[in-house]
Amino acid sequence: MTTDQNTERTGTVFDIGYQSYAGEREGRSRAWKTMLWDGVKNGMGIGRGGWAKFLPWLVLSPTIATGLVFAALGAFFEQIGFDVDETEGGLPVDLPGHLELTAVISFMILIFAAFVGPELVCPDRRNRVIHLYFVRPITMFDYLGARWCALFILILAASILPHITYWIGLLFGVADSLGHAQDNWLDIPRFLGNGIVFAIFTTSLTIAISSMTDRRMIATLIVIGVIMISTFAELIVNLFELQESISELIALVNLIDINANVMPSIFFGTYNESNDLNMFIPIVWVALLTAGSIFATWSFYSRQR
Amino acid sequence: MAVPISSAPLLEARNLTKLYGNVQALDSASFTVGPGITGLLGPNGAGKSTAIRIFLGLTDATSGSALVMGDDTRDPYARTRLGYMPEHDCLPPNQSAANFLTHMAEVSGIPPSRSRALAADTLRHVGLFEERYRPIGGYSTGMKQRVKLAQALVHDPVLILLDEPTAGLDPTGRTEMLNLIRRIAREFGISVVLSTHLMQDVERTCDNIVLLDLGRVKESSDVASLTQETELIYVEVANNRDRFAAELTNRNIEHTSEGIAVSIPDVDGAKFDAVRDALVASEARLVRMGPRQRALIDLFRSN
Repeated sequence: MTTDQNTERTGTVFDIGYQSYAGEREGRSRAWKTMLWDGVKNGMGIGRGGWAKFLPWLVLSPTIATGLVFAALGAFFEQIGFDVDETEGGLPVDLPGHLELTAVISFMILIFAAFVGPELVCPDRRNRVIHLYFVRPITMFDYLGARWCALFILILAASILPHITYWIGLLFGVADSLGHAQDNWLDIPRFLGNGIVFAIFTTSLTIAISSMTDRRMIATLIVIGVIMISTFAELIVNLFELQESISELIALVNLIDINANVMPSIFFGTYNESNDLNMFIPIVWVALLTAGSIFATWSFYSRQR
Repeated sequence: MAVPISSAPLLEARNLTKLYGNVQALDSASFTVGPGITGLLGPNGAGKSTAIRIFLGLTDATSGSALVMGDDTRDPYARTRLGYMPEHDCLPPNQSAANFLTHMAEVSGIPPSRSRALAADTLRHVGLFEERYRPIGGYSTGMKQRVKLAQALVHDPVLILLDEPTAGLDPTGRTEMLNLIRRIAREFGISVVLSTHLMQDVERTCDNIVLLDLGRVKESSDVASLTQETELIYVEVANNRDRFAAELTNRNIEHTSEGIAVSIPDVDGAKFDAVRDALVASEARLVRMGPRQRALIDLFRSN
């Protein structure tokens, strides 16, 4: 290319000045969807730095890995001659099922919620971006609803992904996949239903606690603290020899136990085998805790506004 | 679909009263805001921020009504036509300006397919195009003010409300911000409400003012009529001001000393001659002599 060609004018840049936006405006529905998707992305650190991605995945990965380990165990026993489904006349084996998987992963998911929940609401108040949201076409109800749904989606995903991994993994691991699917299809609505209830309860509790402070780490520590205190409270009360039904009633303060054992046993139909307390009492208790958390969140934000 | 503009005033306060417990922030304030740049002026505690918060739907009035282009401020739709730049810091430090503005455009109802282009355009207009992918936390105060202004503009509103937009800026930054605000109104066609206690900002920028004091409207008019020329003659001298003042006294000319200058009321032809003679006698070097304009500060003094 010659010097003349370099200096030859091949185009002109025009500043067309400010252009008014004449396109479509989608109003509240777009605002709501944006807040929801932004919450999901923020929760998992998508579009953010490495550290923001590291923590949620650090907690989430072991839950999925647990599902894989459960599936691998099933496949292994099948390979060495045991009959996992106990339908083919081989040596029966009592493998841990979805109920046991729930018990193992529920604490990890509570920790996951403790890290991710504050990430969705605390920075908005700390950086005061929330004031910019409320002068746009969304209401406080929209904002809280979108953030709640984002966390719900993440916790639900964390709750059911290990189960799906286990269910599908075992499907590929056993000799008769079709027979296994036919025999165990009922597990899907069970772990899905349990996951939904667990996600509703945990989301509401985490958002309520996160509403009390604009510092993420403090909110995370409070959530973990509440879980630990509730567990220790039950342990201390259990030191006294109380009636079985009273012990079960007091055990409901233990958030880990509710999520790991009580509610899953209701969904998997094993509650009455090991509990004297009417199953509606834990259901009402969880509903009350959820409603109380939602009310606390709403009243806190109403006062702040 | 573009935002339809009604024939109603952009903002209208009708007997707006706001009580915070026993504290009365607004006391039956009634005023309207039309197109152009309107200064919402008043000392601290005058009720400016409360009025803005009511118009933005962030708080409810105790009594009276506030309308945005004819619609109730509590209607989320009314807020699609407004932009707001708060005084306080409100930016996420870890996000880039481009991502933040894109997000804000979408929260304002702009489809994702258009919001990124709008964000880039808006950042170009406020002079941050080259810096748009840097995290906001690394910006200077002036750049952060521009991002705050850009987020108020990104959805192409009809009216933007700016709360102390020059706060924390150095003189150069302040001039640039005021120039930008003038451009927004003149070139972009977006009306502006400028809430400030800095009268010079209002004098330099605004077409109209609403003066609030103790929650009441003290004055609501156009800036030009409030800063019109007065009957005062302003004589600025480079030296011997005291001798000049003494010569005026000797000639029985009423006057007031103001720094390096002297103000003389009710000047007629004969008085002009006497002032000229006093200047000669005092050997003061004349810098400027002419009718004095009222400053907005006089409004505060008179109230």
